[in-house]
Amino acid sequence: MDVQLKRGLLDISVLAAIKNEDSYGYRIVKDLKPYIEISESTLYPILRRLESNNLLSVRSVEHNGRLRKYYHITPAGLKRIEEFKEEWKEIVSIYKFIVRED
Amino acid sequence: MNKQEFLEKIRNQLAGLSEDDIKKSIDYYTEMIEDRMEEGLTEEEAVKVMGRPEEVASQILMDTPFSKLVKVKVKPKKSLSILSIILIILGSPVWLPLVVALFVIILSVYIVLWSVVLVFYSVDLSLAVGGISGLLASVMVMFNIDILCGVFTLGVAITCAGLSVLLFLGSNQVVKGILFLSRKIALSIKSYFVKRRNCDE
Repeated sequence: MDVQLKRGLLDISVLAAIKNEDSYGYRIVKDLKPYIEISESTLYPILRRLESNNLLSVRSVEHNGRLRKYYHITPAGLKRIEEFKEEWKEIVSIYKFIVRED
Repeated sequence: MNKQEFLEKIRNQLAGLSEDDIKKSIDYYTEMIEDRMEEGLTEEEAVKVMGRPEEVASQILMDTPFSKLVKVKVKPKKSLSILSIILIILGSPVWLPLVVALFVIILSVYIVLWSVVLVFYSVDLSLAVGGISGLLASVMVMFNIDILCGVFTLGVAITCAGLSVLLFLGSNQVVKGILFLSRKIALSIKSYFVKRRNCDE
């Protein structure tokens, strides 16, 4: 897939992975794997970018005697997903134009 | 490689970023490795999944904005004494041209690299134009002047066209190489800043 397109999709996918309940790094990777190619080292900069844009917040939770970071979606993050859905409608109409038969 | 060695390598490569940024990265990879181990991988296997530490570190560096690297580098540990401020101002005739020169050198390296690309494509374009116009000319020569001379012109024209196709493929490879080189240069400039700070400490 085109790098730019994938980059945009990955951001939204990560937000979607924490939309319903807070999640942690490895689980996000596992949840996304069936749909989009992602590794630990690609996830890290995405999480940092989303955090610095205030689309998600981070808290540390104790787990088996160590700390694990849980990522929580912010209202701005939820809004970003909704915006993406709207943008996607435009993309679909462009797609229909591209594949039209005549 | 065990977890400790892996994290230590990343820490060394990142030295120069702010302590906070380094800690965040180390925490992240620690958590990732431990989560994998909890799922049944051995320590070695879990580390292996993360990739080579050099690549992990250079990815982090590439994703850190350049301005942040410079800020970290430039941010003084203690506030400057009046003497050093005076010295910096007095020294400006010396260091200012040096800084300007450094940027000009970097800029010229890029210009040279891209001129090479330009040369390749212009030669290619001229071959293509030569080929096409030669083709037209050969037809005219064949019918109006001399058939042998026309055939010769045709041969030259086709050779030109062939060369231009081959050169076009070659040029694309050159561009790929240069893009790769530019990335390397950007990275080495970044790591230069990072390493410099490392030595200062």
